[in-house]
Amino acid sequence: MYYRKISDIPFKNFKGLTDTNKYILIFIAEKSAEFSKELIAEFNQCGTKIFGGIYPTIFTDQENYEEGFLIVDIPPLEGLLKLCTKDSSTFDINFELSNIKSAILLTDGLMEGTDAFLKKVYSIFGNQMNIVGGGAGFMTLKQQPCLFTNDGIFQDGGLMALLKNKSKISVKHGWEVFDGPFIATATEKKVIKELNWRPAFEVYKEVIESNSQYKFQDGNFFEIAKIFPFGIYKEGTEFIVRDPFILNDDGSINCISEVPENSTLQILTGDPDTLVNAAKEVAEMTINKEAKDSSILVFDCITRVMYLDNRFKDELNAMKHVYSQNSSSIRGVATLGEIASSGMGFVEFYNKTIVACNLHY
Amino acid sequence: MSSKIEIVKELSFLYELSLSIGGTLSLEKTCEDFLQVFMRQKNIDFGAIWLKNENAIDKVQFTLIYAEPSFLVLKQEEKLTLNFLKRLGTEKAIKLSVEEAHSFDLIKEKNLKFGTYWFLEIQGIGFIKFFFNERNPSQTAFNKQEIKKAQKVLHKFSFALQSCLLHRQIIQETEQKIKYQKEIKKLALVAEKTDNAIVITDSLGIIEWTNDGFFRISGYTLNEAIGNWLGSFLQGPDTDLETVKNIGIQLKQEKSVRAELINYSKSGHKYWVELSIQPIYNENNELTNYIAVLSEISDRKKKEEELRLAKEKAEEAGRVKQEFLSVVSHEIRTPLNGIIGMSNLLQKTQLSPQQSDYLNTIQISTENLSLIINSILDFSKIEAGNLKIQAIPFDLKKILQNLISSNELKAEQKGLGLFLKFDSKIEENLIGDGIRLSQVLLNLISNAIKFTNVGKIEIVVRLIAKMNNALVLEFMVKDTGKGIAEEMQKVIFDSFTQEDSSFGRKYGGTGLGLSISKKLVTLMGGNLQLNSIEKVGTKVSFVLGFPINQSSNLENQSQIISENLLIGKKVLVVEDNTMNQFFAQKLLEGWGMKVDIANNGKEGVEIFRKKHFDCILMDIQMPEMDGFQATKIIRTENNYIPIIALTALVVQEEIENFKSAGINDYITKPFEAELLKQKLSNYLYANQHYSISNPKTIESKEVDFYSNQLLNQMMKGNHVQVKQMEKLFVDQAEDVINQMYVYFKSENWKEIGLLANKLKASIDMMQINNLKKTIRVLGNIEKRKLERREIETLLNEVFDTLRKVCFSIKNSYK
Repeated sequence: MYYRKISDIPFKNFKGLTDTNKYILIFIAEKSAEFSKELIAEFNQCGTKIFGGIYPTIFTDQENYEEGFLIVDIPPLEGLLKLCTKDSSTFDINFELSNIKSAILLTDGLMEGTDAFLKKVYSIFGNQMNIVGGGAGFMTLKQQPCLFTNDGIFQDGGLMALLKNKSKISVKHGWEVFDGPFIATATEKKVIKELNWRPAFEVYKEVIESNSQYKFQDGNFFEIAKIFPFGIYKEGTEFIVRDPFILNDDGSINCISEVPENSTLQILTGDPDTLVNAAKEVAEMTINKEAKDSSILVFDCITRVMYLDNRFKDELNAMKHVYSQNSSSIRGVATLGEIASSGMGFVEFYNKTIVACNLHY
Repeated sequence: MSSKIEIVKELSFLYELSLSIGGTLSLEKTCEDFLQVFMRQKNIDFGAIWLKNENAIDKVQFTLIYAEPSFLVLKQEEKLTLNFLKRLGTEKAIKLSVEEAHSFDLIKEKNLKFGTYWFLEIQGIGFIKFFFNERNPSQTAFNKQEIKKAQKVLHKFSFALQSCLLHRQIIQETEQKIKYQKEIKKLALVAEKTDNAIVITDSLGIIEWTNDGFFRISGYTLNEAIGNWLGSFLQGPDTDLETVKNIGIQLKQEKSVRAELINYSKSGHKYWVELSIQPIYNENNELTNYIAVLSEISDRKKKEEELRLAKEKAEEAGRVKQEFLSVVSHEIRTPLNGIIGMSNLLQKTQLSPQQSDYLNTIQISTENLSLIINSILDFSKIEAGNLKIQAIPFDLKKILQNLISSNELKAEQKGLGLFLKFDSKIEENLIGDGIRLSQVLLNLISNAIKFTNVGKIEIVVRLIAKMNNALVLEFMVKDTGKGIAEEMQKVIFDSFTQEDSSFGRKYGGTGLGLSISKKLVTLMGGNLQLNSIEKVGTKVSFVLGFPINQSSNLENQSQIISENLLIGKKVLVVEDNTMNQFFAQKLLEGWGMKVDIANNGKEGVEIFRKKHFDCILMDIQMPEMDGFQATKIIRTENNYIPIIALTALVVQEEIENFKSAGINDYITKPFEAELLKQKLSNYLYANQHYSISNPKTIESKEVDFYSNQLLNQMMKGNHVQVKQMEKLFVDQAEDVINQMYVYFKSENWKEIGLLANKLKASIDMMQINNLKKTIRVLGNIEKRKLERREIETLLNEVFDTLRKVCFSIKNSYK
């Protein structure tokens, strides 16, 4: 349920939710972040267990909101783990995992070492459960506390909600090759320094400007870059998208996530129709036709939301259209990086991607 | 035909893969870089690199170097069959279902249940293992064709890994080398700087190298020392040649040597060294050098000498203490014996109630003093390890009954019940130290009475086990007394400890009793246990084992037979203290024995030579000649006569001396009458039984204070007449005693003088030598103007002697 103002939230209605395993998931839109402490205090007063994150935008079936609160009812949890990158003891998990089928993983989308964090998560929780989630944070791209529980707000880490319910997960972006391949001949974590042994921006600019009407000028890097992300090849699946978002003075490009050195990259682009279609496919792959009232969680990349802009409504509609077959509702957030595993391979950190999860009751 | 983009994809894959190789010389990192690219590009779920274990004999063992993700790994070691390896060598890559991998025992990971395994050869050194989950959309794209494309890179990867292995080996060897070099440096430094002198010689003992320590100790520099023969270089007049010779012998046999020796420094200063010489062999096992390590031990030697002297001094002090203790105890016991004896005799006289009361106090005090002295002596003996537990027959029941009867009164006075619970299954005649057992129980009973005000005291003797000819018994003394506080229970057995230090004043005692009892029980093989609850009572118990006395019946019999054996038997008491003489005499005479007194050993021997005796009681510490010497002399003349030592010295050492001197037994002073009687009975009975052919028979009838020798001469050996004479003398003497007593009362000195003169001749005739002078003094009583007190003493002497003579004469007729 969406509430625009904190005063709209009927806290007293949540008073009954004192069941030991019952938690409510709360997404706060970036512009309402200032009320997060008040919100936590109110819920603490009700004795209601909560967890959640602050995201650039939040959305429901048809509407994307830049402010307000989304309160999501989820099945009872088997456990809620607070993992901190700066406190390795939080990873000493002594938990019976054999019953766990699904997990919602909210991370600090702007922390250092997301890859290492996810590798660690994977090494602990293995590949026997579906893990889904997204990076929280602010559009300013300045790292601030963005995850919370009843104990308060924090950064540098993640919240992992463990469920015994089964789930269906799907990941898709719809971005296609614009040009390539290029070799990332020099990278340093999230920074691409060289493409084909030349300064990265030089190549990037040359390719885009010579194959499209876009021209880079001072200050418009992100405007154009959001249309042309990089793709890392992965056999048998879609490219892994890496979002360029800052142009450095030395001609290197900062991405939202890490790019391996010597990896082969493509420059991708998206046609709003194929993107919307990808969202529809994601919905189709996750719908559970037999079950009613399933809970649909969608993690959609903020750059994708920004790129689609007005047409983001179409993406929501396309998904809603599929899910309305069994009257399921979409609850989602625009994220700084999307997380998904599907019971095999690594827990991957995506960009410009839509990740949907259908939690079975 | 592959599209251009496909070709680019392949090339970019190979490009990225080749670039992942050689970025580092670390084996693990090389594997990690390579696997990560391979797995990302081909979307592989699990990958691992295994390399051949070079140290393994059969070359089919592999070790895991790197796995991604590592949490899936179950085992780090893998053994492949030769067939599988051969197949891998031929095919370069093998695809296996999970079931197949299982059948070959190739699964070393967990949770990889549904999917496909790939084994890729890394030429010559190992293999890569990949796994695709069955739901992985990329698995179908991975085939032998793909692997063939990567073959050249894999080949290169193999070389890279070999370089890494070589690098690792070199690093390890270098590290080892550095470590050794450091150790060698350290050793060299130690050898050079150590306080000990270190000398290296050639195989003949010629010095090749010395360290600083050698210079410090000997004063010789390296240059001065080189070329000298270590065998004589440092030695001098005080060096023990025997030790030098032994070192030479050992070294000739190429053995290591350790010795202590006097050496001389360059300046001629003498010092002690501890020397250790070790032969050194080369790789062909040939003797090349000796290493000698010399530590200066002059200080230690000096301290050892001091220690030895101190030890001797301490031993001497201990011996002196022991001697002092013996002497002091003797000195205390002897007069104490006199006091006890005399007060016993005094009690038999007519006393007023007040006198009787005073005497009673004297007796209790002397008894206590005696107990205290015994405790101190016992304690010191136990401390010195001199107390030996005896193994002699004793009657347990009798001991217990005696304990009850001797304590009954005390208990009764306090209104306490005193009970004995004696297990009827217990054999009464046992072998052990009855005296010490009795001492322990007496101490426990006394304590129980002392510290109990209401209730009862129980002595329980319980049979725990009976084995063949031995019994295991539990002794317990239970009281309903004040109990002992828990914290005090731990220290109550300590010497000189009483529960409350004020107890000594309130209850008396030295605080040694429990300590001695515990030690005695320990010496007897038991353990004294204390179980006490404050305000409820105390239980003290111990368990001891005793052999059953098989010959006890016979002894009992002999005891009864010998009851009257003492009457008429002649005993020589060799004792220097007159009070003890008197007490012994009275006691022995009271049993009907005839007593002769000698004032020292010398006199004893003389008297022994003159007369026949059935037994000798011999004091040990005496002037002129002590008891040992006297016994030794007597034993050269008579092996059969029982000699019982009277002594205050009860040191085990002395008891052994008794035996070697020929003393049959001993009794400690102040002695108990019953014990003396028992011992005398035993020996006299034994003598009668076993010394039938006693060679010493004396015709003439001789008694203590008189001799019938003169009468015999006068009557020319007519025994009947001699007896008549003696009888007459008895009548006369008894008459004179009565009359003199009457005249003394009326202070009629003249009549006393007349009576004395009348008796004078008889006394001479009867050879009552010790009255000869006295009777003559009394004969001149008027002339001498003696005082009443003097007259009384003289009269007492006369009465006493005459009574003895009369008694002896009468006894000889029985």
